Amino acid sequence: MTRDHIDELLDGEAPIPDDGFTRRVMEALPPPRPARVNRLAQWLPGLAAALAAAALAPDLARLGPALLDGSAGLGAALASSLAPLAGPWAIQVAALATGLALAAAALGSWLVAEPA
Amino acid sequence: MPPSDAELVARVLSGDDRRAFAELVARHQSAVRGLLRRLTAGDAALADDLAQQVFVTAWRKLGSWRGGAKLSTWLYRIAWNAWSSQARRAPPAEPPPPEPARSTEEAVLDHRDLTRALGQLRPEERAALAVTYGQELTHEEAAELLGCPVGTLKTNVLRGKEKLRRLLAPALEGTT
Repeated sequence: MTRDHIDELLDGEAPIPDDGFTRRVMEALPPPRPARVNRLAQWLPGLAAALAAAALAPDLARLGPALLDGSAGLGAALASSLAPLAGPWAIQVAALATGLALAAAALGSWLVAEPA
Repeated sequence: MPPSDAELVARVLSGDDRRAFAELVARHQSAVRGLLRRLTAGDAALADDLAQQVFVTAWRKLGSWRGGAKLSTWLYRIAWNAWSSQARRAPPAEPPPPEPARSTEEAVLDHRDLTRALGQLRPEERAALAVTYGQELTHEEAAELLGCPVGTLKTNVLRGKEKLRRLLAPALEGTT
């Protein structure tokens, strides 16, 4: 008898009516972002990836045949691909492209993340 | 036919749809607030503050709900984490002293009695009862939620119920 009462009591609590709780929650949510920012946030990670790919594409393209030739050819191709980076202009271009890609990725992540 | 939880979540994620989220809150507020009221031993103000945090967190992290588990289970987990953090920050107050024995005419058992009695259980016993009853969770789901073995959960449920039986005995006798 007692067991039944305890079980019924624990199981039988009435639902809590929505006494404005949902409205209070909705008011506590962060404000909506402008649609333009949403669209930008969707595209920025892709843009960052494209920039990074564009910066690396010429060197990677040279590696393709070497990959087919085997590891010896790959080593030689890597050396020749990286050789231009020794020049000051190449380093500057590569650094700039990498910096742009990283900045775009960071901005994209910041826009995608909800404010705390 | 009303949209499923998964459909509403998809609408929120795809278009920042606040009306869909409001529907989710309205749908689950009673269960989440009820769970937290039991965990807080009837402190409705604290429970509602925590419940609000739960839904704001759910809004921010909705993309991490994979749809494999029920949305309610996912919300209970957030609620349990919110309550655990709160309990670590501010240890629970001393439980209220038991009320003096009532006369037979007054001895009508209601949910205030239950809430008061829950406040006198050990936290793990109260948590076990809170997640096991009224939340439509299996023992396995409840144990996973609390991060304890199923056997421990069952033990805490049995001990909690035994204590409730003793604490509520005078009122229970008045109802029979």
